[in-house]
Amino acid sequence: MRRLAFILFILIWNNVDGQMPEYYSYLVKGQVQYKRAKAKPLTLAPKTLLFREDVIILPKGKKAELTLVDKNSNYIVLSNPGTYKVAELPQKPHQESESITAKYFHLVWEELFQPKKDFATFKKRNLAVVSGGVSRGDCDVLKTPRNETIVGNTDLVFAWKNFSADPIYTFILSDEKNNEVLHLKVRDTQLILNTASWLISPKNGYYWKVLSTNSSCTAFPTHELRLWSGKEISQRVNEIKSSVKNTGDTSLYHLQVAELLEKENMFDEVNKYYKAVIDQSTDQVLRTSYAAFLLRMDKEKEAEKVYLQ
Amino acid sequence: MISRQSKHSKWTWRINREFLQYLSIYPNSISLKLQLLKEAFVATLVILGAVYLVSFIPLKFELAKPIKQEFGDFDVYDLVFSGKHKENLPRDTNIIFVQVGDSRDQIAHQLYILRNLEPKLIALDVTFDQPNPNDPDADSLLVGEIRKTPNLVLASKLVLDSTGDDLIPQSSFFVHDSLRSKEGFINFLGEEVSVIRMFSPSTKIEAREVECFACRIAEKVYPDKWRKLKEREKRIEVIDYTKNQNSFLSFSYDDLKDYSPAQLKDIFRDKIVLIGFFTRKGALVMEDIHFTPMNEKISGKSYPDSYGLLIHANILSMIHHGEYPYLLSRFWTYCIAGILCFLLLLFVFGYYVKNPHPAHLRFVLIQFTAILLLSWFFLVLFERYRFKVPLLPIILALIMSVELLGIYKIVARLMNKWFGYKTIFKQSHF
Repeated sequence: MRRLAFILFILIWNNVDGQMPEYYSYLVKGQVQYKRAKAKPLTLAPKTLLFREDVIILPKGKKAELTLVDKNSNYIVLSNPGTYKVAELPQKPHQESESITAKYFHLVWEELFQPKKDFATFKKRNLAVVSGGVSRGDCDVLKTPRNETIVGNTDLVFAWKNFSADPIYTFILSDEKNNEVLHLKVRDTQLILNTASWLISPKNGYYWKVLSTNSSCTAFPTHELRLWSGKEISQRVNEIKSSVKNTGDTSLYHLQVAELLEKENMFDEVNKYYKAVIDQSTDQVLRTSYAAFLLRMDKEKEAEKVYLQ
Repeated sequence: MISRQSKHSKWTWRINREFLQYLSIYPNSISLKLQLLKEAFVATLVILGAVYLVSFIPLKFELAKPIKQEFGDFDVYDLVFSGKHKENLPRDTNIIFVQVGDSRDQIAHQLYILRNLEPKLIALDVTFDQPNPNDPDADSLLVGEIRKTPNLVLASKLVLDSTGDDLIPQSSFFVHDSLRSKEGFINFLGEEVSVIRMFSPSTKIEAREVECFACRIAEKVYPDKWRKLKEREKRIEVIDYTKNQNSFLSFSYDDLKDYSPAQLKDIFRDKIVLIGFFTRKGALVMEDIHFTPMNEKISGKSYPDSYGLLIHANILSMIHHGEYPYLLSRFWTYCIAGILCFLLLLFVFGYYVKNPHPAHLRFVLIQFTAILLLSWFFLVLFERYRFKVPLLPIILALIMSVELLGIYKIVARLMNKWFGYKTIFKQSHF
């Protein structure tokens, strides 16, 4: 009986702890969205409770900003576009103030025995270096795959901006339960992963981010990645194709299919689709539309090439 | 030639002779103790006088500059406010910061937006010295908005008049009689690059009481607490830095346009809004930025750490809570310095009686330890009870109590010669 009571106590305790919100949204500027597990994104309103499993989405280029309040009444402001997992937001742990006695005697020690102006030799404390020039606070560093992209390739290409003075980046791929699937040190701004080699199985809810210790960014955005099997992808593409009515205007049909694919964040499929239809058609509208798509994907050179062909 | 043995004997004799001489002057130990008490007391007065004179030495000449730069702005009490715990300082939800607009028409627009959000009070920590001849429309717009905002506090500056002797308040160009009662001076006590530790709640100018900026705000929003401040009748108050910029909600000029009005109204209603220079992130705006005890570095060169707005907000928060640090007066500080100096001298004289040639290093070590422990004690006192004892006279008195003993000896011997003053330093070899 005593054991049963203890087990029940533990279960109740865990249950209560799991239901505690991490933050609540205090101020919301722009169209900020949030997403609960296996649910569609919702518009985040002020005074919404946010839990560990939730994901916050700050859209790009819309001046979105979110002020959160944590359990210790600290403000946390998110203003860089991207996807933020609540569980990974920069925590502000309660730091106890160093005791005044420790501070005082530390100061006395510093002043008496470690004079700061002793520049005769290099020591840990006087090895000063000023690196960098300005920080514009742009921490939107992830390039491709874009946020919430659906991919079905066997080779995944991850690319990010060169945002650190340190050439070594940490690439982290985690699943929706926040378990790290991959944690790699990368000496480049691009990483190609073969899903079969790295045993990455197709499913929704992968998250990837890139960290660096030598950067001005304090919060690193995370991009969501949905990895589908080739069968799932072709099935969905066929569904989309069949959902569009062919009125006889083939160009219009192709444009509508491409638009729907892009809306579903199947960017690789859009690319493949445009390439396939452009090869069979000389329609300049399709070519222009494809170039516009490539521009949206930050592929300016390719867009120019397609447009001028 | 004097042998090693005879030399040693001569030293021994001299010490014994001195001891015998003490016994002849002070035949019993009670009179010796009384004599020591009397001499320690007189020596204390001499040393306190010297400390008082030292405080008048101007540190303006070139030679004193390094000392002034290194120690001039050093205050060990800053340790209480400096450190990493700043991240966890409690929030003050009564005050909201708004970054001032870049031009006068933007400021007018801010006032218009803010007035409609129904705050308890808007305080504008900006002065407008002259009308702008290039944009008179913006001036009219600004003055119009200021006049339309009833619950507004304006900033003024205290400056010296042409003679350089008297203070005069310098108001914005549009401030006349009706707006005078809405003004508060934004000056802090200290030089431009000094650490701001104190503020003056009010000052009298031509029989008119001029209030400080935060005091004027308090007068309007916390009248009871403001009266409590006035009843204290203190010329200066120590600022209790309990908040940093993270403790206050802050908005940029664009935020006022970008956030939905309903949301802003919910946040701003019945709050005190401080408009001034600051930046929420990125490079510092080098306008109205000061050094405070919250700086990470408490001595030597560093960057200024706090905007004037934050200092006003800390003062306002302190007035609201009605809890003021206590600054011990100069008189009582000298009394404490005197007592400590007296005890140290008594100890030193005791050594002199036992041994006319005590090791000087021993006194230096005792002095050093005493200064170290006393500074720590007063620091803890300030941290726990916000009771501030100025340490400089105490430390100077303790240092000079041994170093200036020679002066006392000379004075004592002269007094002995002229007035028959009894002293343990009667013999010249002391």
